[in-house]
Amino acid sequence: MAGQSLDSYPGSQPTLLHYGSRIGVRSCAEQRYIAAFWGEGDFSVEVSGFHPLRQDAADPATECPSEWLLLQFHSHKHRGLVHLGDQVCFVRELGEKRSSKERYAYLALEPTADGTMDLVVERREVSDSCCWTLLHADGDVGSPLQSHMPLLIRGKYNDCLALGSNLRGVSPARASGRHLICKGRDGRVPDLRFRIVKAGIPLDARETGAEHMEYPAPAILADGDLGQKSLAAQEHMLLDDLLFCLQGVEGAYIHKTDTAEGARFTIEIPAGADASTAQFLQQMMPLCDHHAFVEMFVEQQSRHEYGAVNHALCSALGELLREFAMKVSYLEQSLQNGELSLAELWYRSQPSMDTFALLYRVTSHVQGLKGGAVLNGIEEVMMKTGLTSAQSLCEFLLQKASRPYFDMMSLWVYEGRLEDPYNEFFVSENFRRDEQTKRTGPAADFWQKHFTIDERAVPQFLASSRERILHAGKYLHVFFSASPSASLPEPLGGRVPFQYSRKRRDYAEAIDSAYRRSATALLNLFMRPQPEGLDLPGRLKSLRSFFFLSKADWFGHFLDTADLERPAEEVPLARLDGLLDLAVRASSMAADPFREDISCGLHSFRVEDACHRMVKGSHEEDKEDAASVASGISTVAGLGLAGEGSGVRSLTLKYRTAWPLSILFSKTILLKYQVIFRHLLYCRYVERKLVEVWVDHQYTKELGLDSSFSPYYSLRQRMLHFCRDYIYYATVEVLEPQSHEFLASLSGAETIDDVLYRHEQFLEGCLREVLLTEHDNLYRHLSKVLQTCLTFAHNLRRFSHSIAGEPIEEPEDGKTPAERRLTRVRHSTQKYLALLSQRHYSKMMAKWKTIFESQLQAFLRQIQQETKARYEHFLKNLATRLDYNEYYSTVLSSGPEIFAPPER
Amino acid sequence: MPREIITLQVGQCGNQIGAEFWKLLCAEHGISQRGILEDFATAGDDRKDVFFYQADDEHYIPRALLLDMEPRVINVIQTSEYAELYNPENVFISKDGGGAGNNWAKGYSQAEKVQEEVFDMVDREADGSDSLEGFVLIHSIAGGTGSGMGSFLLEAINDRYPKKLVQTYSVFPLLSSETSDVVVQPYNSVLTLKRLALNADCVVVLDNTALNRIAMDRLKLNNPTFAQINSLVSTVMAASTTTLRYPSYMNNDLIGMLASLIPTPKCHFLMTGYTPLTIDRQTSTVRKTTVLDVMRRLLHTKNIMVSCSTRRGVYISILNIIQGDVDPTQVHKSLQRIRERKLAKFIRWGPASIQVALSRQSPYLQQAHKVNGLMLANHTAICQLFDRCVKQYEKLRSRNAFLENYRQEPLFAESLDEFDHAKEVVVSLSDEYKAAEGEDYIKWGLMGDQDINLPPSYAAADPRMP
Repeated sequence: MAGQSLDSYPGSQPTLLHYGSRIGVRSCAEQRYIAAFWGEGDFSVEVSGFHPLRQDAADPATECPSEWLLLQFHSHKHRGLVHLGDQVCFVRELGEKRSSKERYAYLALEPTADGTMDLVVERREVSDSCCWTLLHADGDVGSPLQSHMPLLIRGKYNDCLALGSNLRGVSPARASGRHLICKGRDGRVPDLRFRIVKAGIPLDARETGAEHMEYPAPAILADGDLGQKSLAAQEHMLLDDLLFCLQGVEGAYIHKTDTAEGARFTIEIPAGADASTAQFLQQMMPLCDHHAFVEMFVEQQSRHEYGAVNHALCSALGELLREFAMKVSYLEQSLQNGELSLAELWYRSQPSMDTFALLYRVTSHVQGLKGGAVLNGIEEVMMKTGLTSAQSLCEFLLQKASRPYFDMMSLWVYEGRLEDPYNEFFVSENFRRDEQTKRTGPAADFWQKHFTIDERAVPQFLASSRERILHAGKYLHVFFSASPSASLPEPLGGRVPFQYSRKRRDYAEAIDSAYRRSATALLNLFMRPQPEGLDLPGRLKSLRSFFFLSKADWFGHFLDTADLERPAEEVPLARLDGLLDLAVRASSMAADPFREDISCGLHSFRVEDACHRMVKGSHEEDKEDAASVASGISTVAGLGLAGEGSGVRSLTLKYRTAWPLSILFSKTILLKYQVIFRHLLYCRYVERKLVEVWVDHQYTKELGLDSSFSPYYSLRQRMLHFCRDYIYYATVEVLEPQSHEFLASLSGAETIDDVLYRHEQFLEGCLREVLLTEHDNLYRHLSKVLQTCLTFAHNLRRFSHSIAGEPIEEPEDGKTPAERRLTRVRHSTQKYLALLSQRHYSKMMAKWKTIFESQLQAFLRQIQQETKARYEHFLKNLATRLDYNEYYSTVLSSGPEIFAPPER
Repeated sequence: MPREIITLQVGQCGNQIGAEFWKLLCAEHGISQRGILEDFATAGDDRKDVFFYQADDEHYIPRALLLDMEPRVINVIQTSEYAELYNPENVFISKDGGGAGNNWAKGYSQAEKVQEEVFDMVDREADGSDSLEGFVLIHSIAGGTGSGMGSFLLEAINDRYPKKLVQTYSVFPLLSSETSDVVVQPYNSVLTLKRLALNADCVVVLDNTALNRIAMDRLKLNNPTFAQINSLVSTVMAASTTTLRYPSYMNNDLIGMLASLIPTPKCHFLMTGYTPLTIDRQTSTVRKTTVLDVMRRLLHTKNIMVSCSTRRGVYISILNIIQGDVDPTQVHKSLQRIRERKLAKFIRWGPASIQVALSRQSPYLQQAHKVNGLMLANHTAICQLFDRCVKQYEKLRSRNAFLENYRQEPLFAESLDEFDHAKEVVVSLSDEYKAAEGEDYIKWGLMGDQDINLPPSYAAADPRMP
């Protein structure tokens, strides 16, 4: 507004300054000048309200405290134009007759005792401390200095002159209550901005700028009593004054004070003025206030940093202000022609009063806000008002102001691009994770946290759709980042030019269709088979074959070749990878297109710890959880064969996924797969060891051992039964049906988030039902039983080896094969029986039996308790499995003698 | 590395069944009659290498030895359209070509004479394997070659490959001697049974009596031919190897599969059940098939291919292999139901359950049924079969009938004690199974307190024991 309304005033040409001229240094923040007062033989530097208007006083030094002589620093005689960047002195002339040395006092910096800089005005040698550099506050350089330019006045130490904090309590009329300091360099701080004005002449309009309206009172100022004028003349004068004010300029009778809430106009009714006229004027004051406020708002919020929404709003407000300015100038025309009466003005300005009252409410409501908050502010004002005209005015403003916002949204939901230079959109991008991690590393974190909703910035009219908007763009973003050259079909019914409307349905539907389009695009990308898609179902099946051992033939070969009983530290990963590759290539998984993505890894933490964390940390930060698990709980290595730290307890599989599949296979998700795999691996390993014992036992089939060996058979059979039935349960009754249902449910998924959710649910279900995360005790019991089985198997193998190790002593010459066989059989039989008769073997046997049975019973009992406490069908299934023929429930509970240690 | 299985098909019956078995395996894996992988089968994720080896990229050869004392059956195979399937070096026909004349002893002693030649072939096959799992012997126990030579091979494999698993598919003869043309089959059976009991790890019993009954009663064939019976047998054999060839969660190797079926080493005679029973892709009357239906039908005595009533006795173990399109979520419900209805009686001396393996069907065969199931079961009722063999044996033996041919062979030249010993072993086998029906089969308390004595049956049976 400033430009238009002020350019018409005379004397607004930019004023160039010359060295040697008398000037005032005026703060842009306040209507004050830098002044030096004489007292007690010294100058005190202050910020004063005295104008540098020379009054022809006897002692210029005292009478004109804010007047300075501007001299070039290096050559006081120089009288050329002042340029930006020049080094100057601010000089107080003490008397023309004195010698040059005593003639001037300089504004200078002086260090104080506490190390800060003080400003003084002193007679002294010309030194660096009184050298000031004039800089344009907004960065212009080189051009001649003009009187309206905002300046930074930089001192010796690169700090600039500034208005300091409030000075003491006293505030004499001459002073502003603030003192002058030298501190800060930021040209945007108003306290640092000064202007240099010519002394001795009234301010021109240009110099006043927009920040403080100050206009020399019109000529009538000097006129005395208003009451002596006729009513018409009074009216004319007051109208003239009022029209000034309607352009934001102070008048003769109407004064303007700047307050924190903006300018306030007050009328000072001159003596003798007509009361009714004054009353009219009084009623016009709000319009002046509001108009000035809106102007100030536009001035302020159209600055770059306030963002596109504010720019749009300000441009809309500017339109209204221009209309109003035209109206005022028309009124002024009428006044000049003597056609305007106060009543007419009152009548004509009624609509403007309402408009500006509303605009004032709007602007004061959104002052200092940006982006979505501005839109919300406007809408709130609209909601509060009941007037249709007001509502449509607000709607007009909203439509204008929301246009950049909707443009951003449109780009986001239709192309997945986020172009938001002023951070106004409620979807914000988090750049914490760099591109590199996004491309390679597991990226669930990216998926969850890269784009987030800033709730404060959500416009209310989009609030209900905000999740959909976020996801629509996010899906597209991922889609295009994965296949940059892909083209998408346009949404059904084409792109909608979003526009603010009080009927939310209008764009809610469009957002929905955009959301569906992008969700489908991304989902298709994932679900379609290669090469055009990522073949998620195929990958999931492949994962199942590897991690859940659904095609376990590779696994058997791998276990055969990989020596996993050694401590994990001694297991060379590269060799394992080689063996894995070999085993997989020779198996039914050879044709699996994703087998290259599988490799071996070793976990340093225990399965139960990981599970424990999963249960505990399900509400905590997932990433930290996974990381802290991965960082390792120190384990005691080398507890003997297949102990805690052995390869078989540590081996896991790693799965490599590329962006964007890594969204679905994040660290946390993979950890779940890995934990299940490690658990199965251990179970299968124990089973395998027991099977090896079986093979040894098969050797005894032709021996005449009768029933003496049967306890060994039987205990091995019970353990094998337990292992196998648990594995059957875990695979055939949990993993297979669960993954079957999961894969089937994928066809019903609508978005990738849906898939993600189902995937997580599926894994959690699996973990729970194989007892890993179900209940601490259950898994503990289970692993105890497994551990006992393993120890038993190891011991029995040793037993068999001790028998097989001894050579047959009898001579074999001259015997038929049949005879040799007989000899061998007899020999082995005797050896077995001799070993069996040793007391410690039977004791050991009895001990194992007791341990195994008590552990198993504790496990079964725990299951029973859990089932009773809360009906969980899977626990019941497991109990049924393990005790299918009710052997344990009848025999184990039949009498205490089973658990009593055997006699002797 | 596959866990290879070498198949030895011995004698007339063994070779006929074997030929059918390989025919079916080829069809299931998409291998042509000449051993060439069909174009449509190149991308399969089945495992062919357990039973076949590759001569080159698409040429598959069965790991099979065709052994016989007379050329008739093998000649038929070698002139059939499958002639090029087998490795010609793996065919052994006795030089004199006279056959064993349904004499166990002749088969046994002839096998002894040619053992080096035969084991050259076995060793060659074993050397060609990366990690040999074991041997499968297909034979009949009633004739001369399959029983005699088979018996010898069982003993010799035990000696030469003590760590390898030996599984047999043994065809038991028809009950009634009227339908049998071999009068000495009780002798042969008992002598072979001894080796099956002592030298095999697992015997899958294929009872001709039951097979004929099934053919007549269930398939409505008045005069079932050998081919029809053999088709039944090969179906069962192929089904029992499904989990090895179409890997799933478990039972991907023979050892693991058998370990849970055979808790004590002597009780290793398995019976089979199969549903739905058809021959030549005949359409079945079965309407809808659920897991429960399949499992329930498998427990029916009439579907079991052994002529022993499973109404008596108890199950020691059960493995159901269910192939085809079933809902995996139904498994536990079916198990629960069978338990509730007490459809299967189990041992009381240890835990036992029905293991269920879900497996795929071959994608290359037009399956007449969406679902089919095989049961491998260890049931104490099998002792009825042994008892019958012993009974028939004693009928003959008490009259000392038809012993002349046996005495001509070295094993029986001095005495007929081998007969008695074999009978003792079969009787003790039967007793073992009967004992397993009881609650106190496992004698915990006796350990360490027992006298170190060889069991009397064993000591008495061997005349050469000191």
